[in-house]
Amino acid sequence: MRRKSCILCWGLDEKARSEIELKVRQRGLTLVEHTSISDLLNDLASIDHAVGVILGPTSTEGASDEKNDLSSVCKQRGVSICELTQQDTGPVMRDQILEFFTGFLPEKFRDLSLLAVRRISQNLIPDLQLSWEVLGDGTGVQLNDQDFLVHYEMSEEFYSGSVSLSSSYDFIRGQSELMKSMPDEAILQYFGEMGNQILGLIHFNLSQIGVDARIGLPTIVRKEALSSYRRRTPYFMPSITIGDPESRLCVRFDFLVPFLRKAKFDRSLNFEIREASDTEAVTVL
Amino acid sequence: MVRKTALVVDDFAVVRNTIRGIIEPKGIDVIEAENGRRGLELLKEMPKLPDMIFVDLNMPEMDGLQFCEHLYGEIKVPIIMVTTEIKEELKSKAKLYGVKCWVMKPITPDRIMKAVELVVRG
Repeated sequence: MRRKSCILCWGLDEKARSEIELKVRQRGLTLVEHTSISDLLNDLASIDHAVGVILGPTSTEGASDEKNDLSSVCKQRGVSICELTQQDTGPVMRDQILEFFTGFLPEKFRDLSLLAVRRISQNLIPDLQLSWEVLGDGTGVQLNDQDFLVHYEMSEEFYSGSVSLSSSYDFIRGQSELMKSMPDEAILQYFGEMGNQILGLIHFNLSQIGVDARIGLPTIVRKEALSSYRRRTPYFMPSITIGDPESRLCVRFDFLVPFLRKAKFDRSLNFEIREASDTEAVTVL
Repeated sequence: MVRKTALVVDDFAVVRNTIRGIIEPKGIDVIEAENGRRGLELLKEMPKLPDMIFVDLNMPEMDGLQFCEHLYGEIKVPIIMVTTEIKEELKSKAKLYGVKCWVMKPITPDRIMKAVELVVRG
């Protein structure tokens, strides 16, 4: 049995396959190619860690029937499927692939991440002039343009999550009166604490579905070390990046659910996104 | 009114400053330490023990639980743990080491003052 999460594919031409393979690898996944849809269906039945299927376009009638069968199996098993309308490696294909990867992250995680960033940043830096937006699936952050990165992880037996904040000092100073004349290290302190509190709010919500993780100490990476900083992605981690529209302040979240298919996890996301009340937040021991 | 004193132990200055900003106007002077080890040193140097201690859980060098473990049985000062952690196991451990109150971040004036009232009232 393959242990690494993979994407199964069929019908891709060489150029498209090589471009897609690169994007798949960037996300810590493996692309497994098949010579026929029936082979792919067999593999899908035997691989626990198949998280998605990508199909090339085809006009033959037989293939179309097989594709319908495959679609139903994918639906039943909760495996995402992407049927390319074009494989010209142009913008249409790129958009389809991006949408495919973005779809891996459950909507609830997107909403929760956005709420956590908005609430905590407002609490710590009330005058931060920034409109937080979801910036795609998290692969677009250019660390070379940033001055710092703060990274936190939390994990338990079946679940891991992480948050990384990155930005440049001058950009931050330009967005807040509070930060305007603050030294670099003091700004870094704010963002260090922000990462911790963002993950704390996410953890509080996930604790409603039994996630009982522990948040680790931060990794703080300064400019001189940023170029050599590489994220470890040993497993498939659906991610989301939130930031300003030009990615000058980015908060990237990775949510790892090893050995658990997306649909199975989606079903368990039965919680209401909320913040702790003051009564819940203060406990006498 | 007699002013009280609090030792605030947290690795992030922004947290120490936030707690200071909330409790100083309410009559509680603040002494700051950036980790548990420094907190212990300050406690030894202080001519009079503080009336309460705020401590973070996750800190480099010496974390909040280790700090409380060192103090347990040595001094009787109410401890308030201020953290993003919510694990029951950690709360139980903290209780064993004499922590009186657990405050979940984000820090708000209401949460901090509620914790102060609870530990001052005993």
